Amino acid sequence: MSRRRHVLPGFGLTMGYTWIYLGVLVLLPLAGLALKTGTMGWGSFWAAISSPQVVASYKVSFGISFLAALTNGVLGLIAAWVLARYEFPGRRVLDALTDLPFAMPTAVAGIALTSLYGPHEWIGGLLAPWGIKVSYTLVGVYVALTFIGLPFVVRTLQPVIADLSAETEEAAATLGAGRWRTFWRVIFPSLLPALLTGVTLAYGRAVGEFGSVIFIAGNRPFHTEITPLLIVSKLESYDYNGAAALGFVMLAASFLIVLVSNGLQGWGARRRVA
Amino acid sequence: MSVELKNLSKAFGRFAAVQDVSLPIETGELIALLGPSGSGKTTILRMIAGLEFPDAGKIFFEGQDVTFRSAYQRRAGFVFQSYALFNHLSVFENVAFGLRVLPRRSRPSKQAIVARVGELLEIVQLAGLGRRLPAQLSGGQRQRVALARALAIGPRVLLLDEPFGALDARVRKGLRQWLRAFHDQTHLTTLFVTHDQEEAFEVADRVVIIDSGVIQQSGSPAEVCANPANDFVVDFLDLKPGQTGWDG
Amino acid sequence: MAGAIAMRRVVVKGRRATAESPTVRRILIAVVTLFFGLFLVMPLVVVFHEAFKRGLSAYLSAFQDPYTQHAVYLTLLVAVIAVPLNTIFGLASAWAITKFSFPGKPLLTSLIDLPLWISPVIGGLIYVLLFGRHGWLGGWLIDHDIRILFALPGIVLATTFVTFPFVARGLIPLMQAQGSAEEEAAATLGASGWQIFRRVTIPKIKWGLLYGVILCNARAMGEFGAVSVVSGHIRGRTNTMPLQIEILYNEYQFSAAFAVATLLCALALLTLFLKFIAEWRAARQLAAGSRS
Repeated sequence: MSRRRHVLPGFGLTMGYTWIYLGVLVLLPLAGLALKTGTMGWGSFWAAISSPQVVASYKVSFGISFLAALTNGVLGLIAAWVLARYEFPGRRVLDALTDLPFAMPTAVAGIALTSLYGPHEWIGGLLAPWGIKVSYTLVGVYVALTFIGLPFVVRTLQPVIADLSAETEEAAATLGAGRWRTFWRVIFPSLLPALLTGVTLAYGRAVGEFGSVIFIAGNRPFHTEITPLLIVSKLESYDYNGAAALGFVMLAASFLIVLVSNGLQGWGARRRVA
Repeated sequence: MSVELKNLSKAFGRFAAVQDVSLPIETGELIALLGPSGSGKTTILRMIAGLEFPDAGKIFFEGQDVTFRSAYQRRAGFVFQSYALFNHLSVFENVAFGLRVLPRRSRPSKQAIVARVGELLEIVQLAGLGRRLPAQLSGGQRQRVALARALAIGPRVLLLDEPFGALDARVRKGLRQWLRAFHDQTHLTTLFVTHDQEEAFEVADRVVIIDSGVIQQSGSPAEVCANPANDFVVDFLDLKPGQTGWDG
Repeated sequence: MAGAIAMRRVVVKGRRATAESPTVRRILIAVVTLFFGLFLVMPLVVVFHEAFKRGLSAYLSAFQDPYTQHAVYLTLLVAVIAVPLNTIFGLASAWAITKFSFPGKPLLTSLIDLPLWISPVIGGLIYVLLFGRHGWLGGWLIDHDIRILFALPGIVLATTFVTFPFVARGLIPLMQAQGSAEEEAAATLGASGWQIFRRVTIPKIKWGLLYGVILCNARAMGEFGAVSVVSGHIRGRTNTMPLQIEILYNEYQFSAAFAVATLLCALALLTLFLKFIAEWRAARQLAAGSRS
């Protein structure tokens, strides 16, 4: 009697296919990475993930990603609000373009940003007289990571803004709250979970980003070198252990970021029901 | 076709939706499952159609155990509360669907399908609307498309989930009378779910009153009014003390 | 009295209380336009500008290079293998997740998202550790003379890994929003699983499916990090278009690099356009569905 029964057919077939596909493509290779790290011993693992060059790359990858995600939090909130609430010429185009960093190959974004922000180029040329150098500096890394994370905050916030009840805002207004007060007291708190989720997603994406950064960063060791690039150079010199150890650290960091983002999403979902 | 439900139970998580429901249904009966929302009546209907499976108990069609047959083997005519029309298909194709998916051996010819669908649209008074899309119809018209679609497969039992729920009062009245008349002609075994006692009493031969997943009383409208089985029935039907037998 | 005050507050100088003042609006719109202009429009413009700077013939001559031609061919080949695989996976997993309830569903959905939140470099690394010369299966592969790394199978694997979520992620929310009532109706009418899928589900999801496939394709053709790790960068053999762009760029053949980039940019723009259409169609379909 406890035999599971399903109304629609195809449960065994689709579940089986899904898990086999994931198993072969994802779980098995990931287990290989974990195993590789497991067999190398604590001493060499620690040495691989804590050398000064590696630590410097963490600072770039995790630190600049944080700044970029923060930028996306502020500007993404404004963008999501403007795209969801205002009607103005060009709105649809901007809305459609939001996903460009998602659809554009990272290498193309990389060379485009590098050309744009080079010292004698369109934007870089405007900044140079002010003493701001973008390409081949940390500012360049920041620009690339902001580009890559742009869709996340906007796309996470848009549906939540669309779902906001106009009546709540009207209620706040009838109670005598000005627009500014209404925003901070009523609107912002209800957007906060989605905003933080979006920022976390943008951060997660930026931490692992490779293609768009390596062109504009200049990749100077100890200065503008990102962790994913270190993994690649270790692989190129056949240092599989070192690469696996760094990969493991990046993977653990990603897991942590996803846990945080799932927690935030759960928080947001509970708030919406309430 | 006769249908028999034997000791059916079904829980969703920790919520017991249906508890130990037994109900014999004679061939040609027109039965209303009446109860408040959340009482489990729709779950019972869906279990008969094979859209849910009971945790315990058995379902028999004509004495044959179909408890774990899939919906597509049972082919009960089911009319969904929200109609569940195929919005991408025309009215004609919606009604023809059940015939087109038959295995090649038993599938009628193209002309036969056209004839059969035309006949059904005539029966539900939608002749001439075959080319419309569901979005271009009124609520009452959609309801009738759903009915014609369910009838197209020649079901041995017709199941309707809140068939009149979403319609306005006038359309509802007309459709009720239509269903009663249709049943008087065809004597197709029919069950419908409703929360509206007036509807149940006007249309059905027999009313089965359900609350909290348990059958409270089953009988003809007159019987139920004359001898309500318990306080719930009295309350739910809003029977005035003067109308009942027990209040002297 | 209190009512009168409230009335006055809600409509301030004829402006709705739930709207910002025109000045604030203009400033916010300007901020967003500037932000998007600098970060989205300009990069797009610069690609085409750089590609055509030296004229059309210079642009076209970039595609005379046999290595570039081979890169285009290889990229298409990889996409032709990876995209159908991921499409079938997307359909199967979306069907399993949206049509049934089973324990472990949140885990499965998180796993499907995995490539989106890990570095593409890791997507390459895991296959190197498996199939590389010093990898778990490396020795066995060399003994049997099977080449996976620095060859087509490796590139296909890495590409498939990085792009497998896209079809599934496009379909799952869509199919959840649409519900299963029409599929159930089809089942009561005697349709088999395949008939339900082909006659009811596919027509309902076709625009979302198309967008998912196109996005998956754009990402497959444009994948850089993961492919860069497994390809070995052998010119004329294992270079895909993004890798060819890198090489051309690093050799200061800027026009040629950007010329190849325009192809991928056009693909990206087509993807955005199709998304726009797909969302519009899906919204219409949902609206039509909710009216019934």
